[in-house]
Amino acid sequence: MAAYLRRRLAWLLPSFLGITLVVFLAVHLAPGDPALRESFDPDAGSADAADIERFRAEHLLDRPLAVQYLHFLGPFDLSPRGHRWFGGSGEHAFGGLLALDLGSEIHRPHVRIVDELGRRLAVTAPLTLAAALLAWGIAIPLGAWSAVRRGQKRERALALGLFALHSLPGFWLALLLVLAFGAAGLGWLPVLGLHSAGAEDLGWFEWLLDLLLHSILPVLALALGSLAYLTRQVRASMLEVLAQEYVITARSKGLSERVVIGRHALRNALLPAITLAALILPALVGGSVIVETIFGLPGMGRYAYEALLERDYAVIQAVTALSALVTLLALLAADVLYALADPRIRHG
Amino acid sequence: MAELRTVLQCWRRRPLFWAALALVCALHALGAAAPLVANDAPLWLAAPGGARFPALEPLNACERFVLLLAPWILCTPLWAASSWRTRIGFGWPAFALVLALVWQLSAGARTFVPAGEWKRQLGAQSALFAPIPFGHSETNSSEPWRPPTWLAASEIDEQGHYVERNVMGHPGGLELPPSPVEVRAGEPARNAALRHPLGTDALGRDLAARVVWGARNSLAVGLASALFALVLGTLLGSLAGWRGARTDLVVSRAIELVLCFPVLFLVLLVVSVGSGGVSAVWTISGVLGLTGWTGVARLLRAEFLRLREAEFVLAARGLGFSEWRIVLRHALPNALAPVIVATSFFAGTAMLAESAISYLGAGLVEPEASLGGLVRGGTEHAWMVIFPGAVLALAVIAWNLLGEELRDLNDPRIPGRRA
Repeated sequence: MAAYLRRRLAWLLPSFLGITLVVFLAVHLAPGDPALRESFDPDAGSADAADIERFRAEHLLDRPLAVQYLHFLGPFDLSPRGHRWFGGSGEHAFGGLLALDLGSEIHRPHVRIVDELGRRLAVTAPLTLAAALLAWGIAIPLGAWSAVRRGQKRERALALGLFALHSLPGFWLALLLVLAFGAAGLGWLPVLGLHSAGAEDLGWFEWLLDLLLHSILPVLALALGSLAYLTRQVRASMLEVLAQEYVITARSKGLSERVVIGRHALRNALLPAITLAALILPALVGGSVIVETIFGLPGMGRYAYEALLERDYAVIQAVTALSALVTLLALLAADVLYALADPRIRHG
Repeated sequence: MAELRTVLQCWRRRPLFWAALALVCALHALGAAAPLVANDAPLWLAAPGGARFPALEPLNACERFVLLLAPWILCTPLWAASSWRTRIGFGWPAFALVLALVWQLSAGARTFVPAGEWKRQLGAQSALFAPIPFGHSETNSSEPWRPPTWLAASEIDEQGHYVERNVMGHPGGLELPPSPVEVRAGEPARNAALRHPLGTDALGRDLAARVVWGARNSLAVGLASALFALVLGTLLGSLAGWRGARTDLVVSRAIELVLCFPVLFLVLLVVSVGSGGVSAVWTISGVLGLTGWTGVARLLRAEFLRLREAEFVLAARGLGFSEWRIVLRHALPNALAPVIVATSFFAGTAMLAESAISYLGAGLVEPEASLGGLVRGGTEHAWMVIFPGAVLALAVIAWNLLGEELRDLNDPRIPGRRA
């Protein structure tokens, strides 16, 4: 186990650097330049050349790509304000990923990316977590039920429904929810943002109720997206367990069907499902661009997408670095959990 | 007759598989034949100098080839279930006919006529129009946001204006169009129930026509990226599995790396940049293929690691066959079944990814249509959400069902598995 873990950990860093490098290259080799947008003068209809030059020098956009990447990695700040060793003024000696300093947004220099990430995560994480809990809460009993009732008419109908749900486009489902429950349809639920206008003046209870009402549809849309997949996974793993000999043993001992299914089968069937749960983590920080766009939520997915449109290199790199790190850790956690749950892998 | 019985028998043995195949083929045939299904230019026109085929004129040789292939795509469930003799007897001459026709057709110069221009200048000439006589970018300013015309919500009053009602999520409050609904040559009457069976968008473009052309683009992305992923994954996966050792290590690490990529984000990045002249269909397919080959590669690698030691491969090697021949003729055919299943699923996934990108507004640019982009065009109008999304859902369901059925066909635990 220790050797396995060590091997996996050793591979973590190169993977992380590889992903950040690819994203860095893709972002920088793509046409478009934050400097153009920043120094664009709407009255003159064009950008001032001197302004562009100043902006580019300030953000190292005129330096070779390798320097820019090293600047992003840190720990030394290579900009004109950076470390003395690299010809800077020494004002801001350390920066970049290794110095745990993500800097500030290009277009809004007063906004530190770390703070903004925190604000966005505060929206995305609770929603994703609630959606994951909802999806798992439905998927486990539903999957177990359909494995036990395998081949029966009602189970086949459910399987068909889940198959269709699995194939439906997520944004379409979310929009149908909006059309059905929003102002255009039944008008039961608000569909935009997290708070109504003037929510600050409400008492804490009304404020909370307002928040809950606003998050019902986004959570539902997020949960529906993964529900079918999770149910099918639980069903498959439950079917595998039900065919095992220890289930037959449990039955022949004369245990009630409830105990056989609930205690013996389901617990074992959920072990592989745990590893799936670890893979929720990336979604937890990555958010969903689609759902956040439809419901107008200021979450992580939206942040990354807006940064992409505005060519805010610093934000794009920070977000992808964070999501790559979490993805890698989640994959590692999934493998480790799986190894812990299954001795054959641990010792094999 | 005997042949037909063979086909019917074949279908009856696995109805779901053939239904899925028929649905996939029908949708792709519709996409391939889009210029003949929905077009503002007439299909046939009795011009003074002889007959003209205006709908074909703007197409290039490749598009004409695809167009002529449409009947064959539609008939795939028929010939795939028939005997080898029939396939060869009818297949090759028919295919040669298509090629000859394309050769003949591509000789003429390509002409570009602005959308709707043909109809305005038609006059008294006799012409034959497509079933949906609207172009995918043909606007009509006199009927914006018109709900499906078979709904009571879309009536025409005495002045020829259509009456707006608050139905199907229509917010109302828009001013009536300034002029009566404009009807051009070849179009159904202004109050015909099927004038715009799926409604129109903000610019008065017929949604049915745009759905057909959007399906063409979206299906093309699904198919192209699946084929791209198949080729790339086959190359890298078989190389890793067959060579083993260091090659395997490199490819496996590459697979892990690509799996960690934020795919949607990467596609958005590349696509939002534009593609320098290449149609966005190919850019999106390229990126989706570049990030989606890992599934195929992992399957093939595992299969090849197993097959490398298989007895029939050792026997082939003992016979002195070249390594290429062993891989191509012996190993690959035996490893391909799970790969084809994975490709079928990936085509559906790629369509979903493309529609999500187009929904965000980064994919195909207007006036090009894509099923996801159409939904984006009017999220508060129910018909703009329901119809393109339903077609997209149908296509993805068809691909996934085909994948499931193919997987069952290959599963030795399920009896009666011959198609």
